[in-house]
Amino acid sequence: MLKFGLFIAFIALSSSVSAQSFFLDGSAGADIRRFSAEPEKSPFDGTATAFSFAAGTEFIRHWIVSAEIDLGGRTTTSTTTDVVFSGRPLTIHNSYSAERRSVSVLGGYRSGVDRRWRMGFYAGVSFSTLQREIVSDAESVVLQSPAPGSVYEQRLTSAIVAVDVAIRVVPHFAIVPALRAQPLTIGTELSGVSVRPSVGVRVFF
Amino acid sequence: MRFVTRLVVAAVASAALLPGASNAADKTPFRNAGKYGAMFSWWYEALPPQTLYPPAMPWDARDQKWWNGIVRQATDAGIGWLSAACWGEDTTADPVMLTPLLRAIDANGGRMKVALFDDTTSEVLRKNRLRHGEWSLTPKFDLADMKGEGEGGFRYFYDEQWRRFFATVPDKYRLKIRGRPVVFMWVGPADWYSNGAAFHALIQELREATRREFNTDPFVIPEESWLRLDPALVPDAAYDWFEPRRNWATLMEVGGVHVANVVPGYDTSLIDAQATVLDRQRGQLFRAGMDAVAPRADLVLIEGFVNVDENAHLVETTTWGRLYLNILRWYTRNIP
Repeated sequence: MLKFGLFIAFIALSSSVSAQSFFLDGSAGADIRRFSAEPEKSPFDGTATAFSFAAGTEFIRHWIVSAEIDLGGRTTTSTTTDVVFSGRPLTIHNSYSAERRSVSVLGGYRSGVDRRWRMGFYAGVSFSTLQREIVSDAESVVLQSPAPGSVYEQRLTSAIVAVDVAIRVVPHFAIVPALRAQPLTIGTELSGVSVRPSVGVRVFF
Repeated sequence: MRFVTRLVVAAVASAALLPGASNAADKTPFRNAGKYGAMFSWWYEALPPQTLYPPAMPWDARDQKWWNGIVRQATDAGIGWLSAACWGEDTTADPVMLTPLLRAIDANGGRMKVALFDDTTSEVLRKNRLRHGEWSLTPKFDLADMKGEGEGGFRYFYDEQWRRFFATVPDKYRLKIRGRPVVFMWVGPADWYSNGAAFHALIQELREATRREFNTDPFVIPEESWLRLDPALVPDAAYDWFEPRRNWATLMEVGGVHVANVVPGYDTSLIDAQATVLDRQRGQLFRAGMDAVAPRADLVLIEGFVNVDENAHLVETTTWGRLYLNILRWYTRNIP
């Protein structure tokens, strides 16, 4: 329902003006994911490569609305547990992986239209899928049964904030360092955050 | 330019309506609490002499502070529910004695849930106390004798146990799966029970009686030995209680529900000359067991949170501090 509302709002905004300008962004960077799994670090913490693609319009001077697809790569943490049972030493190997992909709708403000440098500040809603995978030989070692591995996929709706600086290098083309941040909270148990610094390019007309 | 604007609109529309980005909160929850729970008993007036690792808090369940402290530690560890080991009417583990637990839950945020754990030793013992004047496991309990005309009786399970639990623990405190309150049944060995093939009929009667009186249909999870005793039993789920000489963690799937049982350690050497000891290895035994069951389990029943009688406890002690609470917290946070 939220997505549908955003879609209708965007159609309305875009149709009500005779397109002041539009832009396409593409960027690459890092997806720094941290979870609050005290007292020890979470095995799903990690830094992955991220890519994003965005399209938007400046529907009123300075005011932006855009949509973006953001793909955060896979992180993997490996652990071992050593234990002795009935005099037999056993070693368990665990592997914890995480991967994120998001679709976001953002609105925001950009500074001086005619300047070479334009600062942008944005906020919006992000629809993310966080996939976590645990691969372990613990079941076969401890339970003597096959260990098929476990995949958890959480679909999260959260706020997202972003800031960027567009540095025009030639007409209609800019280099854009940016920073995005959004929470990654799974139920009440695992709360985390994804912070994404990136550098990209923008084509605008 | 108008074409380009439409293109941008189409891109945004596609992004906003991309399949798979729906909100998971729309789905009915499978459980009404986290998947990790632990056995809980409350018959303590003092620390038993066989306890090797003394808890850090005063050990007297006559004091509400004890209950509050236990629930606080369980909450800290991320436990979602406690499985109350009930022994029935006129015992030191009568379900009607659980009111302080409910007060402790309220005092600690009100989120902890409670499951009935029917300790099936107790029905045999209570029947023999009444019929033969002895607190003994012989003669066996006759599961086919529902009316209680011989060596059995429905009342030992329902009137003296389930009914007292459901009358004491209100709906909002109950652990539920698919909206149904959870009841664990402990082991059903042929040494204690005769006419085991009648067990499924007993469960059906217990569910019917609970439905009639409390308007709720229990989600019954028997120990796997009942399935061997009564092949006609089709339970909602089942679990396999650990056996210290064979294992310390189990995972069982029945009806699509995976139920695990794990023990952090076990030591009855001070009360049993032939005792089996499961060495804790500074938490490594518990970690290995949790590694094996946590990823796929829908319910993890840990024995036990306060089991100082068999040195299988998790609570903070003067020996290991909060080590086991912290280990458990790691799993409850990272593998919810």
